[in-house]
Amino acid sequence: MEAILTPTLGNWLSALITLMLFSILYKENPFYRIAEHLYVGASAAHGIVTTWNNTVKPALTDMPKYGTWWEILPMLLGLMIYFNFYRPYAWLARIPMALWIGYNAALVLSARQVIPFLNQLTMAIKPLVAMTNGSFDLAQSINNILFVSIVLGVLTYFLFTVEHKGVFKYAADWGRIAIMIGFGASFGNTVMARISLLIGRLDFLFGDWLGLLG
Amino acid sequence: MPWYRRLMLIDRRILYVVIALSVAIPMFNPIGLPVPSDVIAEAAYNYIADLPAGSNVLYTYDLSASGMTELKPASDVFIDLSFQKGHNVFLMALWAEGNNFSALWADPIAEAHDAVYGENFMNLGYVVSYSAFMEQARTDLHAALNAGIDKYGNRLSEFPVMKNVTKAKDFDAVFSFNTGDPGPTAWIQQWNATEGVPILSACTSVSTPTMTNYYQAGLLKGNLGGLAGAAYAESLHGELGSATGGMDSQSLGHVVIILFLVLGNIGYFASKSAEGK
Amino acid sequence: MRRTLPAAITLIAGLIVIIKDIFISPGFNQLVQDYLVRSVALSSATAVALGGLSLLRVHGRRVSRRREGWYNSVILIGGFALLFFLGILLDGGHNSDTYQWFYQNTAVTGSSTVFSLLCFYIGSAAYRAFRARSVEAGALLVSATIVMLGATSIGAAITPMLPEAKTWIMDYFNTPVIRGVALGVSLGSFAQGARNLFGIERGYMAE
Repeated sequence: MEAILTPTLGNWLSALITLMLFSILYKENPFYRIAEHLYVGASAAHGIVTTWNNTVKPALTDMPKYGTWWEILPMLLGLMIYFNFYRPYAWLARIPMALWIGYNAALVLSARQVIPFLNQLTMAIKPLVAMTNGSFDLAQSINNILFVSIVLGVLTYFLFTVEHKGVFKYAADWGRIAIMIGFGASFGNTVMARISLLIGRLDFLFGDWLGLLG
Repeated sequence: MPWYRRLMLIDRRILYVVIALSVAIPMFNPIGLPVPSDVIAEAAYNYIADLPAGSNVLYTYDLSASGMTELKPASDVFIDLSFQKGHNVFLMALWAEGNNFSALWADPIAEAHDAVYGENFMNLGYVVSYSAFMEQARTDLHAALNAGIDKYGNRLSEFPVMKNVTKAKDFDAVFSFNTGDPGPTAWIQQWNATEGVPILSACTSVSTPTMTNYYQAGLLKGNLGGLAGAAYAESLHGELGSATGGMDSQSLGHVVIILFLVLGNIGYFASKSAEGK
Repeated sequence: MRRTLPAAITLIAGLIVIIKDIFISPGFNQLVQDYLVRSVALSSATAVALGGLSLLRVHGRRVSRRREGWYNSVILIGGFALLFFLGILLDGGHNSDTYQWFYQNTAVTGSSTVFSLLCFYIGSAAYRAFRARSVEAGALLVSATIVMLGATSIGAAITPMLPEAKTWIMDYFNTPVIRGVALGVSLGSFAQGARNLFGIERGYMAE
């Protein structure tokens, strides 16, 4: 089998799938749909296979060796989620969900989330009159005022329990403008990510497949 | 038809061709523009470079295939750097797809450094429930890793490098190559907040704002934001690779997108002012 | 029973973790790690096929009822079955060369290509939809342009001020905005966590 599945043949298969998927840019067509369905099916299987081989199979094979028979119980508990497919007993699927939700809710309420929250909060409190080497630093002071006012503005903008009137209105309006500028920067970063993805595919087509790049 | 109407009605496929050309042309004719500096990427590089030999560094591949282009160069630089510095390199994944890339990207570098599996580096595999893993690993890393096995099904206890690494705190740094959650946020909450393990990251550009926030709040020791961050790390490392090569395509691609923004708005305002008349 | 039992399990599981964190007892901690946390990991692992099975069910129905595009569903099921059986039956499983060959050249290729299509769509959207209709939209547009130019080599080549301006926007506009949103999200998740724990929020119980 491995003698047939050479890297060159792999590149051809990969290139074919890439071009079939790119064909959607021209218009909707069956080649795109075929490639799309193939990769969705393969991707779905990968997660299951990896979990089986890495977690479930070793746990099962370890049971007779280490006597960890109790682990059958959580495995059965996990399997209860499949009652979702059988309506009369669908409520049983809530039981494993209840365990996961309870466990994760407790993590959220613990130091794990509180410490990063406090870190971010304290680091948002900056001196509005900034001093550098003992003297007043105007530029840093302006930047700090900007930073603090934006954090407060954004928090006010998302504060729905208080009517946005008077000082709250000004703060929320400022928060909205800052959000737009901030999200503009996020948009710029998103464009970079998308171009990178295309670079990867074109690099594969021209380089690995066609061998046109040095 | 007035010019602005024609501008607004350009076929989308023409736009697509222009985008593809703008990215492809620099691949054949590199412009060689300088890579912009990046203090947060530099902080990440210096942090790992300053760790003494024998430090245990966990590189975690929390990514999907969509992050390949941006994160492989980052992985290449840092895995190489760690082997150069004599660190014990540990690999793992919080994402099933990342489990694949950990070996695919790091093994050739390990081989180039004559690193011995189990002595200088280990692949700890993929964990399906990251929150359970991180919690259990705080006190018992071996048990948390699929009841004590590596990526290939071997017993962790058989390998000498695992003898001194038994809990989260034994890692001197965790470096996450990530395309989303679970990623640095989970590592920060579970291992940094509770155990004080330093966390670093290499992310796709989409996540750069989030990681910049974490860095500024002192929750991350450094971050490589997308291809630009990886390209700067390559220049610091002195080995220019695919990220630096891709920066020309990035530049031209950006110019085209900005041009589209400008032309689209010119057409919009011209047609609006014509309608006003 | 149908609602009380899950709510009780949620509360007990959550309280055990909280108590473990508050009263630092190595013995109790070990018990929780060995049994409760391990149970969460194992139950999640056996449940992980839910998404895959659901996908197969939907597409199996499409094939059996010969719905439009049913042949695509055959391909999806075929792709799933191929990797599934190779990964389970082959020696070395998902680490074997044969599995890797198929996986890299189908799933990885497909995933990275589909995401790369977004580059074309975002370019097209920039041309057709991204309009400076208001002051806010104009601010977004200007900020995006500066960041795009400043983050790449060409910005520095035009003027060294562009990378500086990009860093300034990232540090003093983008970061505080993300910080404000993150603080809000954290507060929201604390509330949500408490609601889940005490059974006030029972969305997961909807059938």
